[in-house]
Amino acid sequence: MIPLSWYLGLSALLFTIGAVGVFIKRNAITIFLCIELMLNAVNLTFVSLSGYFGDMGGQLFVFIVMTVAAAEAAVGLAIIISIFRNRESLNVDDADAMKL
Amino acid sequence: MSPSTNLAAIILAPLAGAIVLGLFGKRMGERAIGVIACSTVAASALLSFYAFFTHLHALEAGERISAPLFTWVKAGSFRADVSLLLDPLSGIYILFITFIGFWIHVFATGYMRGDSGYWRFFAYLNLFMFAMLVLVLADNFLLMFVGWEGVGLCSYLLIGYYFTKDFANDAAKKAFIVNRVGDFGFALGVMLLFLKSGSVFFFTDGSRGVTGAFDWALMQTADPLTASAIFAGGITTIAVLLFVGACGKSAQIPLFVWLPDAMAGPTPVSALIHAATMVTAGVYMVSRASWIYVKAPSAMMIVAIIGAATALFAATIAIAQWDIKKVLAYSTISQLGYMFLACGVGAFGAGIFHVFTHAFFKALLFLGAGSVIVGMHHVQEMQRMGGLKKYMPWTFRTMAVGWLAIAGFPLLSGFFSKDEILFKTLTSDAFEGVHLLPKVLWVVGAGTALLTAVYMTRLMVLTFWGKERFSENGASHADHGSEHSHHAAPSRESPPSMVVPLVVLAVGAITAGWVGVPEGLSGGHVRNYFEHFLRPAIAERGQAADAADASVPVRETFRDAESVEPPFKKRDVVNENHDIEIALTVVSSVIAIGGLVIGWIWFRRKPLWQPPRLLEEKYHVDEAYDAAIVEPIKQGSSSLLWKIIDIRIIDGAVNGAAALAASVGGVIRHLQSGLARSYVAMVVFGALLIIGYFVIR
Repeated sequence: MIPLSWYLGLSALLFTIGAVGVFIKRNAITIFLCIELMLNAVNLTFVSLSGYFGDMGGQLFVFIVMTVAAAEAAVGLAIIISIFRNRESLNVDDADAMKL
Repeated sequence: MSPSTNLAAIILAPLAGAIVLGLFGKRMGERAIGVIACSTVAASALLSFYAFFTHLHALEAGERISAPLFTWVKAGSFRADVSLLLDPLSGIYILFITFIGFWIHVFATGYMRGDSGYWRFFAYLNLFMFAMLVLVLADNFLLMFVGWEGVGLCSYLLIGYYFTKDFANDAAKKAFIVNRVGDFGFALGVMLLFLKSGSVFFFTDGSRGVTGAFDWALMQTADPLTASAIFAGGITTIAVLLFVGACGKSAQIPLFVWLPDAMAGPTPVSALIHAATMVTAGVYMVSRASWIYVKAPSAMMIVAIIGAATALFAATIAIAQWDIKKVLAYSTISQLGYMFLACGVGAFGAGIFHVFTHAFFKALLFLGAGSVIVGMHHVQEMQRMGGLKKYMPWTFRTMAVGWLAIAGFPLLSGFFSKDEILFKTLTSDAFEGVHLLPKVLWVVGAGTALLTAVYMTRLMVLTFWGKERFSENGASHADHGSEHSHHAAPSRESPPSMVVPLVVLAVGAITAGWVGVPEGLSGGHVRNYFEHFLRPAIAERGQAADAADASVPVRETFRDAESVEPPFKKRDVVNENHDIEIALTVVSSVIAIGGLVIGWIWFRRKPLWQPPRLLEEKYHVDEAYDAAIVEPIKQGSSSLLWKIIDIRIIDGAVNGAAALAASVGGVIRHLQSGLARSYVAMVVFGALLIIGYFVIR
């Protein structure tokens, strides 16, 4: 039996990798993937805690997160494509029209 | 015709004319406009005569014909009706206003011929008639104030009739603003009167359940003749405030400066508004409020002194003016001073009598001047006239009548009224304890009478006699008239539409005085009808004594006044006064004829006598006001109100709010770097802060 702390440690590691990726990467797709990584790190905590406490609520919530993530992926990819069409670039630092 | 319908029709006829001309006049021909304007005033005049003479006996008996139309304002204890009052005082006023007004309208149809604003002119003129009739027929102070402001508005519109000319606009604004000063006093006086008496109605009318302010005044004990009474907030304060209003409207010191400038309007306007009717509204109001004035001897004294001072002051200026209309304007101010002198010494009836006669001869003189101005192709300077007698015989003849009437030539109208005022001044008992004052006032009045005869003779001599100076250049004194002068001789007499009114008014100027022949002239056998007729409408000193007994209805006391001599005049005193009056009549005849002779000899010999600079330049009153009032206001406005209050404080607050938002934004906008990753960093740091807070706690 693997102790709960290992699951939580792995999920914290995955989340940190995702967050750092969002910080340091410039490619929009990569950032996007990092966000997905963070979401799934959270999903991992949900299912592990659900198993630990014997409560189905956590697993149920993972489905909701996956659904939202799917929808978000659709919208996010559409935005990335739109940005690419306008700017011929996937570098997020180029999309700075709001900067004064 | 019921009195209500009759009186309402009198005021509504000119209003209808004004509305029709104002809305549709632009598309009408001159003839149609003239017919509408004159016919509405004619209707009003006929209705006035009808109303006056059908109720003559009632009026003589001291009854008041009341015509309540509707309740206008009712708020708490305050009430004001739109209701009209026909009594001897308003009856006389409507007669001469509508009669003279009609003939001036007729004159104007000739005078204004070919003017592009013909319809506008007559719409204003009709509107003026409406406002003036409301003023005199009102039965409460609030409705009177409506008419009061209405005539002020029409005066403003008509002075500024030639609105493309700067001097006309300036004159119109000056008249309006100076009148505001007076109206402020009037409004305050009415408010204080309401505060004290609880009513703005003149008289009690039981059928409508209104109590009259004058009936309240009748019950008061008279204030003492002291300076402190003026500021005590009592009946004297009310009287003084009302007189401030009268000063503005009737061009008395210190508010007379607007009237000479008001001559910028067309001449019929000067005749109707600034000589015959509107400017006498102040005298009307003071006489109407005589019930208040008799209780306020200090206010009476102010009225008398200001009136006498104005009379003399304006007469001295009139002698030095070159513009024919300016001479008449100062003459009007001087004559108005006479009327106030009469009111101030308690002879309200004599004051109104002078209003009545003055309306005829001054309107005549102004219209005559208008006829001369038309004949001279709009030259107004008398240095460039002379010898007009043979060119304009009818203008000359009629103006000569006006000249003799105003000078007080025996048996013409001005003679009787002026004589009456001087007599009442000398024998006045209004100022107990100041015995010298009536004599001083009489000397001033008599001196003014002499000056009047002299300056009117100067006007006549310069205009109608002597050699013709049409082509001489009078530019050194040229006023605005010279802008369109052609150095042309008068071609002919004015058209009949102008000459006929002159003749009618000349007849009036001769005969108007005969309704009020002073009693003394017949040794007391023939009573002074005019004054006797007015008596029920006018309070007399001492009347309070018998009416102070509150249980007697006021109305009754008026009926008694018919048979009972006023208590303060004993029989023998009256007889003695008759002797004085005859003596004074001789004196004033001598003064009038002496003035005419002096003027004749003087100005026949030296028509272009150079008057003293000080008089020619009107004692520099305008300049003094400019320096004392106008400039400080301008300076204060530009250096304090504009540069500090407006620019620094108001604009500063508005711009400051914007600048604050901009500077805060200038700092905060650096957060909006446009870098998506920096936003993410903020989100993460924010989340860490919140989590950290909960962890550490």
